[in-house]
Amino acid sequence: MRVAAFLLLTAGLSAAAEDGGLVQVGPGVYRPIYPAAPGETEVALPAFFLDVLPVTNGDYLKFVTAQPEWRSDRIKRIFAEPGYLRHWSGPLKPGQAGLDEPVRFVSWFAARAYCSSRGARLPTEAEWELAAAADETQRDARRTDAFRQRLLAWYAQPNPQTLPAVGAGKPNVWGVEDLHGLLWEWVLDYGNTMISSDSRDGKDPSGQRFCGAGAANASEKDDYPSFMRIAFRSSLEGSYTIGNLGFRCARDGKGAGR
Amino acid sequence: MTKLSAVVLIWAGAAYAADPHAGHAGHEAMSAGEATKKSLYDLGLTVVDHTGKKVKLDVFRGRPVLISMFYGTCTTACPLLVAKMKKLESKLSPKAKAATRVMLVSFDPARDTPEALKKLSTTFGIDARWRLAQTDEESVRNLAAALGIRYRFLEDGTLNHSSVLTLLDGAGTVAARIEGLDTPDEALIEKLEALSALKK
Repeated sequence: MRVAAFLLLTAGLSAAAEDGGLVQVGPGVYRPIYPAAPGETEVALPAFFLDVLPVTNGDYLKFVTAQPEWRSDRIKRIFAEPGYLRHWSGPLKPGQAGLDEPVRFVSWFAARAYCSSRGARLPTEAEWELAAAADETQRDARRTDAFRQRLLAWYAQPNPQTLPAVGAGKPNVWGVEDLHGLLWEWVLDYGNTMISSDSRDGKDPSGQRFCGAGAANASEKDDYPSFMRIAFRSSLEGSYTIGNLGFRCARDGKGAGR
Repeated sequence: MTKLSAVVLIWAGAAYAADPHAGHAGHEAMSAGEATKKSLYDLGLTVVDHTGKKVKLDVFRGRPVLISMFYGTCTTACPLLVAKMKKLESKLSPKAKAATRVMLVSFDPARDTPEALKKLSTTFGIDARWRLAQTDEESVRNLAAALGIRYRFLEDGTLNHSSVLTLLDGAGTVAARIEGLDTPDEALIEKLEALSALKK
């Protein structure tokens, strides 16, 4: 517990050092449940910075005001399907969508552009998963029953019509909040998941993405929440806009401890 | 709707079929002349081709274009992809073949330099209607996302990727698409013939 308190403290300190909105996560080792190759069961990640909170409607309103090509009435169709920002009442009017609620109905292209406007980027899947494996006291809580049950309970709940404001949850051991329990989040490489088969044999890997033999190769067969996230991500396309999918930004950990 | 059923919905390709949001009606109408068509050319990408020339991705605007992604150090699926595209071309009418352009963009700009692409162009034996091209990493990611191509670099420097061949019309809109190298190409060919017939 003392270790956890210390970690929480250092996370808090690095948050202050970097930027009010980001905290240092890692360095750490990410153990994908679906390794890209047999030799890649452990991925060493250097430290990086991650937004404490998901991007809100308020944040996003400032972005589309400053960069009007991302307004819902001007965005090019290649970047987002017609449902883009559909929960707003107008291109610059969040309407009933609270400014403190996480923004949703945003495409991957739009999320990237937002992060880029802040000199940041989307976190990679490995980074996001590393941050999200933590609970309030442990860096990797994925094998903890209580943690899994909490996630599964959330996944089983219907999506509410409106989402709660960000920041209502407790920070995890890295100091990051709302990774679970509020909405799903885009990652930079959403399209890399479950391409564990070798495409160089000339066969389309999609046939092997969801099959039992593939799942049997997974390293954590009972980590159902991680499977759910991977299945969800692998179903996405970059222009999709979904009511329970938002994002947060990350930055390389230059100057961060290793 | 639970998250699980949302996942299933998307799998079914019905991600935005239902509109549960009452407040949605307030959206302002699309302004006149707004591009509502989904054009790959709106990505605004620039590439460098195997002749060392910097061109916009829409260099072949106005013509039917076969576009895909590959990487030069790939020894199996990528040559197969090129072979498949050549075979496909061999099935085209002379008019369609003459109208069609081919754009192959590398996943791997670090190794597929314009010089490397030039060598490859000889290996592949391509003619002047084809372009092998490379661009920056950001653009590779955007292009792959827009084409629905999934890829992942492995630690040994090779990469896994899905093989997707896309036919664009003159405006850069997807006219046909085949995923996987064993997929029949008749429907795509038919579409390509139709597009070429439109072209004077």
